[in-house]
Amino acid sequence: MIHTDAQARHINVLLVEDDPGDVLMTREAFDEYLHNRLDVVNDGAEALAYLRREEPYADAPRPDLILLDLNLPRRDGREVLQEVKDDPDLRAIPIIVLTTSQAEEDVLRSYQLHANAYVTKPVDFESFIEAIKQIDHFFVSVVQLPS
Amino acid sequence: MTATAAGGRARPLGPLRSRRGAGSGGWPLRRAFNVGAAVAAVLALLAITLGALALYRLVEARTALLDTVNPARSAAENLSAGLLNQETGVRGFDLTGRPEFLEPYRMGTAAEREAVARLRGLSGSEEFAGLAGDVDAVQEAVAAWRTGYADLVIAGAGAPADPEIGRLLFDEIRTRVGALTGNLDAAQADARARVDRASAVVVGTGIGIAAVLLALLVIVGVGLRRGVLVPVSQLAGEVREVVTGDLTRAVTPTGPREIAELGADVEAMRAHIVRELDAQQQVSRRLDQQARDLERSNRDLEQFAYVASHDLQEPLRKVSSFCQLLQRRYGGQLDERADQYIGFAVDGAQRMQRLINDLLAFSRVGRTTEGFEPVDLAAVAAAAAAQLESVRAELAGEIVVGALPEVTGDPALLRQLLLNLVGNGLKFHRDGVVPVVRVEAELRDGAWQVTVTDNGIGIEPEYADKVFVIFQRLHGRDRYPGTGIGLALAKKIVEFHGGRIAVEPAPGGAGTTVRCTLPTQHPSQEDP
Repeated sequence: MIHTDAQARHINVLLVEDDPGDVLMTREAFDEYLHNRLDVVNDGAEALAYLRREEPYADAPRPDLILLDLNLPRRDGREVLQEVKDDPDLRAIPIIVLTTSQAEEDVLRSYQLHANAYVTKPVDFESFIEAIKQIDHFFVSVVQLPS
Repeated sequence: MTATAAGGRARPLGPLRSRRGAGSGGWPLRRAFNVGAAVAAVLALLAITLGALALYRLVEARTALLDTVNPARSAAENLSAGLLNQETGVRGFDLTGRPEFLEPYRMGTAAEREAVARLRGLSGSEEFAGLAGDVDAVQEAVAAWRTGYADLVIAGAGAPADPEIGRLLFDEIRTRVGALTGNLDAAQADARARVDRASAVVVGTGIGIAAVLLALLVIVGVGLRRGVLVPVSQLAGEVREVVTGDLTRAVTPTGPREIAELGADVEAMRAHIVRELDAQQQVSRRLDQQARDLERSNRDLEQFAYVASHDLQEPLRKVSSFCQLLQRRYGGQLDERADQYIGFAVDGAQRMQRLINDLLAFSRVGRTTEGFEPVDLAAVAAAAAAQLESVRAELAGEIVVGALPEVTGDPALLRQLLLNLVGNGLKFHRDGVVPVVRVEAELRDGAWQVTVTDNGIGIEPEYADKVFVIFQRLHGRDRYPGTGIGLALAKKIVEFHGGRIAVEPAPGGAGTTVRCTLPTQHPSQEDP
């Protein structure tokens, strides 16, 4: 898609997050930007089902951006990352790992599995909002996303 | 290890085998030696006695021959010659009537007298049992000849002497002289034979003694070899095997009692050493086990601290974030009191987060270190200063970095250290005084002393130790930010590198100097 007006661009974002509190917080942060559609799945298996448009996600849009938590039930975030990047259909979708972990091994592993970015959720909410804003700005306005 | 009793004697080697049982039953060396010496002495005495006896007999025989028999024989010869002379003289005178022919007679008589005297002198010795008798017989015949013929002739008186009678009488003399010399010859032969026999005995005795000596030497040699040399070299061989490494090889006592006892003692010593070694190894294994247990316990503890700190973050984030959300969404709709409540709640949660983060950082010291490497402190200081740039600029302060060395350590931890110390120097500045923080290093006693000096509010000497306690603050929360972990963290980092840290008033009185000693050689990494 060719965008002329950055403000008007509407992207689909998939949030893979199990913690309801974090889901709420992220929604709150995204609520500031109405032009994004935010879909949420709560575990890795659901995420893959959504991406493959399996039931009950047959009508799901293809996300332009995935925000992925690492510590998920059933299928772990790392597994999802690996599977998505292994799948030729899905690997083009940018994935931002958004997690509480600061551990270097998590960072390294995520990039090794071809995550596009790794963001540690700031402990402070104001900073969290700022981070989401920046993600949004960067991926919506600054970079080109594959269509 | 073997404990020494108060008396100074080491603990005995344990039960020694009974001395009686030691050894292979051989004679004790001492007894063998004593017996051998006694036998040798007896044999020597015997040899000397026999030898002396043999020699004595030889000498005796020789003396008999030389001093008795031979002179007797030559005296007999002289007697015979003297008698012959007499006869010749008398006959000559008888024929010629001239007195000069009596000269041989006179000489012969003198010779006869002398010889007879000699013979009689010798006739006392036992070789010549019949010598006196023989001489008597001769003299008797001579006397008969004289009276029957010689004197008559010499007297020259009218009565003619019958030469025939003279010849007959002289023949008798000759016969008896012949018997004398014959006996003397026999005696001489006997004496010679005796000398020969005595010589033979001497030689035989000598050979016998030599043979016995040889036999003795052989026995001694064999005895020494079997009794001493072989057991000793066997013992030496076994001991050498033990010495060159195989402590488990038993030493078998053999040979005469002394050597067997020695062997038994060596064996006891070896067994003792083996026991001590085993005990030591057990102790060492136990210590290793304890060290491993301790290590594991440490790891578990640190992991617990890490995980706990990490997991504590999550709920805290919720509290803090939703309080803030409350603030954002409902801040205007609630009353002031509610805002205050929310404010304190958020503040509390945020402080807790910072405390947990600091605790996390504190517990991570030493956990994430891969290994020590050479670290350029100058570069580290520059990085820390760069990180503090915004703070420094805001205060219009100054960070002065002197010549810093290269040390061995963990670069991330050392950067954290300098960040803390220099940050403190800036943070605790005096009102109205531009903060100046100096970072310097000097080599003292083989270790690097890194000092961070500021011109700030200083630390009272009575708190010089307290400041290093974790979460310990000297000022109210409102005055200076921070959890009070900075110096505790610095201390842990310095001690992890094997060094020491201390605070002291800055030179000149105002401000603080933090002195860190970093050894040039890092210690074993097992004990952070």
